[in-house]
Amino acid sequence: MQDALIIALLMAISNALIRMIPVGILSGRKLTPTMLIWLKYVPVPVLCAMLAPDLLTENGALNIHFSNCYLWVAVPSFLVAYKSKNMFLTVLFGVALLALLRLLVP
Amino acid sequence: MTARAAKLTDPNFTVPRALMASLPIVAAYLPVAFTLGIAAGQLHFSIFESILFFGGSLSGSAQSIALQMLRNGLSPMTIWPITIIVNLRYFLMSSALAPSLSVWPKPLRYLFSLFVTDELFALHASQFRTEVPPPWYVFVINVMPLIAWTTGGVFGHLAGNLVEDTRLFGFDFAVPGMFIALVVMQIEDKRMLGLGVLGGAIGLLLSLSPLKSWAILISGIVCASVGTWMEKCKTR
Repeated sequence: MQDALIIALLMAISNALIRMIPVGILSGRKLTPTMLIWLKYVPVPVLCAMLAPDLLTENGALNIHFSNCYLWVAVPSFLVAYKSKNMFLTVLFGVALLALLRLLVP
Repeated sequence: MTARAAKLTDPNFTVPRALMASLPIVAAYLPVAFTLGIAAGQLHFSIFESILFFGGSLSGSAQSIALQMLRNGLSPMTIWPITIIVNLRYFLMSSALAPSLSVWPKPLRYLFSLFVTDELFALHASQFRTEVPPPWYVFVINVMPLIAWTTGGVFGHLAGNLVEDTRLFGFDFAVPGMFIALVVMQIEDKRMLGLGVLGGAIGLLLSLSPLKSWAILISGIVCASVGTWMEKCKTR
C-alpha cells in the first residue's frame, strides 16, 4: 500500500519538525495568548468530527437505526470512559461489547 | 521554568528508577499501539511501513485519525494537514519544556524534543519544576515508551494478519473506542463539551456532502476559532 508509506514518512517528518522547531527557534519566546487559546480548542472538535460520522453513518448515509451496532456500543462506551477515565478499559469494553452483539445478533 | 541541573553521576538517578518512572506510560502505550497495529494490518501495511509508522510518529491521536482516514479512502495529502493540526499541541509542550533544558547542549535538546508526548510532557514538566535530571536518565525514560509503541504496533499488525475476520471479534471498534476515551478525557468544561458537539455536527454534515475530504480540517478550524472568540468575549 503506497499510501501507507507516504503517510508514514510525511507524519514522521512533520512530527519531528513540530517538536523540534520550538526548541530551535522559539526557545525563550512566548506564543501570543490568542494562539495558545486557539490551539487549546483544536483536539476535541477534530476528534468529534472524526467520531460522529463513524458512529452515525453507514455506507455514506445517516443511520440511527437499531441496526447500527457502532452507535449502540458507543453509548455505554461513553459512560465507561466518563467513569473510568481509562483509554484501555474503554477500548476493551467497546470491542468486547461489539463482539458480543455480533455473536448474539447475527 | 528554570531548575537546578543534576550532576551526571548523581546517585539519586539510576536506571531502575528511570525504568520504573516510564512503566505506567509503557503499560498505557502497549495495548493502544497493539489495537492500532491491527488496524494497520487490516489496511495492508507492510511490516516495514508499520515499523516506520509507529517508530517515526509517537502520537496516538494523529495516528488513529490517519488510519481511520486511510480506511475511508482519503489520500495522504488530505490526511497530512489534519495530523499536523492535531499534533500542534506538541509545539506548545516543546516550547514549555525548552527553557528547562537550556543547561543541555543543543543537539540533546533537539533529540529530547522528538520524544515529547502528552504523557512524557506531564512526567517531565512535573520533574523539571524542581530539578533537571541528567540527560541519560531522561532518555532512558523517553526511549522505553517508544519501544513499547513500536513493538505494540508491530505485534498488533502481525496478530491482525493472523485473524481472518477481525470484525467478528469487534476489533474494528478499537479506534472509535479510543476516540471516545480521548474525547471524554479532554472535555474539561461546558464550553469544550459544546465545541465537541459542534465539531461532531460539522464533521457529520460535511461527511455527507461533497466536502467530505475537508470535514475534519474545517471542523477543527471553525470550532477552535469559535472557542477562542467565546473565551475572548468572556474575558473582556
